[in-house]
Amino acid sequence: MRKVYAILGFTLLVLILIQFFRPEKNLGDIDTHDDFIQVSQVPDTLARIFLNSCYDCHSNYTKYPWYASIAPVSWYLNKHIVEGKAHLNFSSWGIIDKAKKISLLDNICEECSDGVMPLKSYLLIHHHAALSPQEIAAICEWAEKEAMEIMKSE
Amino acid sequence: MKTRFWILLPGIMLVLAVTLLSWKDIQKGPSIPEDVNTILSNSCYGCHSTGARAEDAVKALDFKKWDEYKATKKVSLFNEIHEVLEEGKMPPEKFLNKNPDKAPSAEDKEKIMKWTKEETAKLME
Repeated sequence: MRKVYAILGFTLLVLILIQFFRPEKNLGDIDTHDDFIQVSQVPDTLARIFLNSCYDCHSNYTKYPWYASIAPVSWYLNKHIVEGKAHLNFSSWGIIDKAKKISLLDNICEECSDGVMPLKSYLLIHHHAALSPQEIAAICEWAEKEAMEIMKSE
Repeated sequence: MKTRFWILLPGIMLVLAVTLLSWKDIQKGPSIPEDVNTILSNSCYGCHSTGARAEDAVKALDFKKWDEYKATKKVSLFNEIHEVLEEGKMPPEKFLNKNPDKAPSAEDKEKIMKWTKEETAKLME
C-alpha cells in the first residue's frame, strides 16, 4: 500500500513540475493583409471551412481549448502547431512564391481527399472540423481554379 | 486460302494498330530531356513509375504518366522535387543504404533542381 502511495505521489509531483515548462502560445493577429482568405479571395463558404478545420494549426492564431494549457497536452499541441505552420501557414500566404502556392493548393486538395488532413487526433476532439465529401470536392474544385489563376497571373 | 486470310485479318489489324500507336509515342519524343532522364531513371523511377511496388510513391509521383499531368500539377511536382532534393529527403536514406549506386551525385542533384526551375518558369509564362 505504501508503494502505491509513493507511485501516486511521485506521478503527481512530476505532473506539477512539468507545468512550469510552457510552450509559447500561437496567438498572433487573426487578420493580416497576407492572410490566405483575403489574398486569394476565398469564397465565404470555403473560408468558413478553412477557419474551422485548418487554421488552428496552419495559421498564426490558434483557438485553444481550456485543457490546452496543461502539460503534457500543451506540448503535444504545440508540436502540431509548429509542424503545421512549417508546412503551410495561411497567415503568410501573401508572401509565398507563386510556384509554391500552386504546390500547396494541390497538396491541400490531395491531403483532404486522402484523409490525411485534418489529423485524426485533431478530429477526435474537434468533431466539427471533419470534412464531408462534398466539402472536400468543393475545396478541390476551388483550389484547382485558384492554382490555374495564379499560374496565369503576372 | 481465302478463309485463312479472314481468320488472320484481326491479328494483322492488331499488329498494325500496336505498331501505329507505339510509332506515335516514338514520334512524340520524351518530354524529359535525355540527361535528366538518365539521372531520374537511375535514382527515382524504381519507386516513382507505374508498376513499382511502392504504391504511395507511385501515387504521389508517376514519371511514366508525366505527360498526362495538368500544368498546375506539374508545377506542384516540380516544386516538390526541388524541395526534397534540397532538403535531402529523396531518395530516402533506407533506399540509398540498400542501393548505394543509385545515389545521385551533387552535380546530378544540381542538374535536376535547375531543370525543375526552368520548366516551372516555362509553365508559368
